[in-house]
Amino acid sequence: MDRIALLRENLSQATLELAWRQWSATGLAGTQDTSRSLIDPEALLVVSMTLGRHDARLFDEVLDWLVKNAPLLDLARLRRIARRGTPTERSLLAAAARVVAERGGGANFGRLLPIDLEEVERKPGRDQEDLFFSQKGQQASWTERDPTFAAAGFLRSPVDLRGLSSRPNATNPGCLRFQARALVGQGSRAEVLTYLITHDWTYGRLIAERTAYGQASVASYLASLQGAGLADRREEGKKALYRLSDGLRDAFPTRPLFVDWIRVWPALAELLEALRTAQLTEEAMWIRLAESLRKQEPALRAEGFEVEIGDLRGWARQGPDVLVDGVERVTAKAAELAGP
Amino acid sequence: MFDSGAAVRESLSLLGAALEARGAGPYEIVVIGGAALSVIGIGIRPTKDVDVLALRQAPTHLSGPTLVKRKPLPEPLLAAAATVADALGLSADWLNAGPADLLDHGLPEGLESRLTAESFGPQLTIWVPSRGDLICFKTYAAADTGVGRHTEDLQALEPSCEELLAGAAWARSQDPSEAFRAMLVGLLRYFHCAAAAEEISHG
Repeated sequence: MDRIALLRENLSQATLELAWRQWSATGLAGTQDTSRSLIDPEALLVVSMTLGRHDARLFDEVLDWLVKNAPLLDLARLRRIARRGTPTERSLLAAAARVVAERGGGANFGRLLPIDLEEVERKPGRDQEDLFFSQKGQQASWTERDPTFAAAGFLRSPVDLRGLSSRPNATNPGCLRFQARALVGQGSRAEVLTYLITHDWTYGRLIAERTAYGQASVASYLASLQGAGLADRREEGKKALYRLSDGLRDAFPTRPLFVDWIRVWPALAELLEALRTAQLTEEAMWIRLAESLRKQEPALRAEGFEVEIGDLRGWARQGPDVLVDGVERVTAKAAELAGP
Repeated sequence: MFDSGAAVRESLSLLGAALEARGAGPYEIVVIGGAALSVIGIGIRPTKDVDVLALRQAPTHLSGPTLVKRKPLPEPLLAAAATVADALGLSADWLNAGPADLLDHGLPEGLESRLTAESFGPQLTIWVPSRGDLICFKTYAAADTGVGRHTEDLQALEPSCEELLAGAAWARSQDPSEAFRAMLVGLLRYFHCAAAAEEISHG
């Protein structure tokens, strides 16, 4: 196996394993149901529209999970995160929402999401392409096509869901977000609460950035928590820092690792895409990988992932070793977060 | 800075790969200057950049190949060049259309038909003018700047006095001023071509 194929294989395996573990912890039918990091279901769903193209079983189990659990998603947040995703992810999300609605799962999810994503989904003149990367072109011609995905421009056999998904595993620390939503409802409050549980002193702008919510709603809830004696406040320079009061923090003795999945998942997906087999010379593949690593370098340094790619300027003078090293570090981190 | 012909070739090879990786091109570019000499294997000095004279458009059933002035260079080509600059630690303008203005006053007659091609991957073809045409360009540059890197390049091309005279005649079409005529005369004398210098001074 050549070096690029080996990098692709290893990164793909680690990333898909990480996605499977997180989904399994939220109730998707799978073998592992643990996640040592805090799961971000909205970011995970959006990236699964790309990762699922590498793993058809994952894609369909996610659809199955949505039929049962879509009401657990924060739709406003999902919309914002989806807007940062790729056009293909938004198209597939719209198709997934339709499939879920047809099966009676998550009325709001099925109704609201396609409206937001209609523009992408209805793009005229779009060529149809295979949904799954493992599909052979001719497969689509002799199997029946799924009409919903075909309408969105993707060829696949009809969706056949197993109905084996369950509710998120509440005992898993990785599912803390669902607990917070059960406690205070979906929205910025649950996000602020989750962030405070997983951090010590922190400030509003950072919480807003990490949770994909507006600064105003975050600041307002922080003030409410402090007013009610549920959060402590102190000032540091121009920043007002907050943390949960000891009593409230003690209610969550096992805290998951916070990972900025909103930034990390797309970076992993883009690296996989850069390594995906294409009709390119080996030199062009390395160039594509270098561009991807450079572009995603800040995201790979994001909180909780913290992989340093380093300065790639002049990499070609030494050959691709520095790129290989970078991808291997990303792969190792993804495998570490997936757990043993 | 490219310290060898191999370094120029490496950058062009990566440029071809970068175009391919980005799904851009194909581009056919005409290169002159020190980089062109390196590509044809007669470069003797380090060169700081790759000078693009023009983009070449392939012949159609209605016309032969044509050279098109593109200054600045097309955006996809510049973006790919930026990728290469980053990958090799080159200056941002290592690929530039500096000499493109030469097209304004006309290139040596029939230059298009004397170009030779070298492919750097499926998306990039480099075209280099003939030795005689390169002598024309170098004569113009050397007369303009005096003794230095351009006269060194010209010496590397080992021109005859007849070739230098042809180069000087073309250079006059670019700059017909009396001051430039005097510079050309000086250059021809520097190359021990007294008769050619005499012809230019009275031509």
